[in-house]
Amino acid sequence: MMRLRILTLILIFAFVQISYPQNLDLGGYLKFFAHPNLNSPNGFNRLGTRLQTTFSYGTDNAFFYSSLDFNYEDTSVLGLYEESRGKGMTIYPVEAYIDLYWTNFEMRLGKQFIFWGKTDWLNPTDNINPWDYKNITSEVEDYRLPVTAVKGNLYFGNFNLESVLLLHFEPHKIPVNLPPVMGGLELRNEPTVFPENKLSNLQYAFRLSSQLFNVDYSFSYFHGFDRNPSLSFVFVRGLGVQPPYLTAQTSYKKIDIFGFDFVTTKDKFAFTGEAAYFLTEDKDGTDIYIKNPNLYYVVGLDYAATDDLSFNLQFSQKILFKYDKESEENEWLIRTRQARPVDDKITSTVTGKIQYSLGSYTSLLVIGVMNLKDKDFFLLPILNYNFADGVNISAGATWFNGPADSPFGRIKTDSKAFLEVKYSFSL
Amino acid sequence: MSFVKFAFVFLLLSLITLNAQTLDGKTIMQKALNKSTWKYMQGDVELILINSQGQKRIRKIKMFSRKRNENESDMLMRFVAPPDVKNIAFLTIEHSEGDDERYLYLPALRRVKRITSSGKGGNFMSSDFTYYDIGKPKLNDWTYKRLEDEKIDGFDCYKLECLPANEQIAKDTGYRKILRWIRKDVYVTVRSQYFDKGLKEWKILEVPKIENIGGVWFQTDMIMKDVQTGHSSEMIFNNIMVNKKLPDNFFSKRFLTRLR
Repeated sequence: MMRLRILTLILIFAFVQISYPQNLDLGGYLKFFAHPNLNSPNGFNRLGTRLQTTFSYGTDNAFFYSSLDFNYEDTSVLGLYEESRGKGMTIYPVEAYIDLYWTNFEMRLGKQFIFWGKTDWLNPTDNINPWDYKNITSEVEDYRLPVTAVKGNLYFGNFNLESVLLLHFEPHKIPVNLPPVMGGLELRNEPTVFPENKLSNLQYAFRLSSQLFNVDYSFSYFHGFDRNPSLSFVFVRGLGVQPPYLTAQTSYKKIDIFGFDFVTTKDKFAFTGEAAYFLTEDKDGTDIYIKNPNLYYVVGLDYAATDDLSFNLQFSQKILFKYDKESEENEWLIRTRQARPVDDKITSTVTGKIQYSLGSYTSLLVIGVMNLKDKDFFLLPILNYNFADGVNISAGATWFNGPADSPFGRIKTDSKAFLEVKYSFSL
Repeated sequence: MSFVKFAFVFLLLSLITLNAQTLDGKTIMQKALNKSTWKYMQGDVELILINSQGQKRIRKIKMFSRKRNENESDMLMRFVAPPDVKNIAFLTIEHSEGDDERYLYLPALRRVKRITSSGKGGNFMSSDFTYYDIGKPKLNDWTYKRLEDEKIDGFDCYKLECLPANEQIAKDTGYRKILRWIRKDVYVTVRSQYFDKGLKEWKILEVPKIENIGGVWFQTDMIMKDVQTGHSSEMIFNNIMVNKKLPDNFFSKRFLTRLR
């Protein structure tokens, strides 16, 4: 059955290719990948092969694009989370959309990526496409999930007004494994509460972009659901001889996000900044299970030392409003009968990036992220060698480290090396 | 009567010869710049990068350019091949005052990124050409001294010594001196020799092919060799179209992201 489907797709591609050769583009890549886990030398987080086919067809006022992954994975994750996107053969639709062009208006309909923000890696205003935190690789289509949306861009004067309507809610994929027992109490999982599929739950977003005095800037607004889950616990007294227990339930809450970003350049420097205010359902900061309203901002500096060497440095902070750490801890104790580490009012992070070209065909990229409180960090070095036109070999590692209860320290067993050989083609 | 004709032709030739001999360096350069004037230009570029071991990489680029005025132009380039860089696009909006704007569209990341302007001395697409080399020089940025005429590939050429008019030009371009050979018949540069800040020979430009397209002379094949590193780059232009108007908003982030 699977073979038949693949054959049908190939035949469709071939037919369209023959029928309309001048406006068609068929391409993609074939990639071998091996991701050995750094903590278990004999195990692979991922090992497999991917064929990605991209297909596009366009005229002067319309354009169609689709991208499809055929993955064969030899192994599922052997690290902390016993889950992967799929073991064995899977077909994954990455994108499929139609563009329509008018003089001052454009529209994109379908499964697509919409990324906002002007800083690197950390983008407070980028809240449309969910993340797949279980699938961090070098390809953006692995670690971000496409959304089915209608996007319109209206151009007037020096402005671009972008409107997005999301037709379906999709949360982040987060590696959360709740323990069966918490503080001596059995933990029972309740079914996750997803937003109801009704008109009043439609999600939408706007962004107004322009330029002033050589500064590119934009204001944005998002209304929808927080893609991060709210996890609530209820302490239940046992009946009779039955011991007390805890119930845990994941749900997704409404959120409004007001954002701003900018970028400008001067000589060999680029200055970037991005901030977003997250107005959550817990407007008064009284519900410990819902995140408080908060501000998240990033400021960054790029420096191109030479054509071959560039640096990026960023500083970011998350500030929780109407928040008192001590009372939050007390409330947790009262409600769940156990102590639990809670967020700090302010968390600060620095990120750095170095890009260096070693000769004509080799380049090195190193990205680092460090939380300033616990000094836990994430390091991603990637060495790429352009073996031939269209053929790239890349090797590197994702290395998490820090104290055991810190964000990166908790996932340090997920550290892995990777080797990828990618052949890109275009027919 | 035949003597009168002879005398007239002789006089005319003498005047032309005298004129050619008396042209100063700046006038020659001005004529050369005027011969390559256009408002819109688009074409296909094949960029061949050859390292010191002789290994080759070939990039194919679709290029669009517009001159907004004498000192400002826009350029949009989109990679066509090889497939691993296909659809990467690059937009430069030049400003006579202040920094140029540069935007890079990376289809793999689905993002447009504003990047630093590494100056006109920055390398064009990792080649041995700089942005300055592929742009149109500004007449008053340099001083010109006419040297003794020479022949290049059998063509009579003016030879000019070009020195930066000020320190900023030398800093921006990276060149302390340029020698140019300009063909007398068509006023097109067919060879250049570039010297670095220490006046050491740095790069040599050879132009094996020039073409007149729509009344404008183009160097349609250029080879730039870095004599210090042994690396060289060749740019071959095909399907050039001159003064075919593009939409006013073509040189914008909007069109940068269009895959078509």
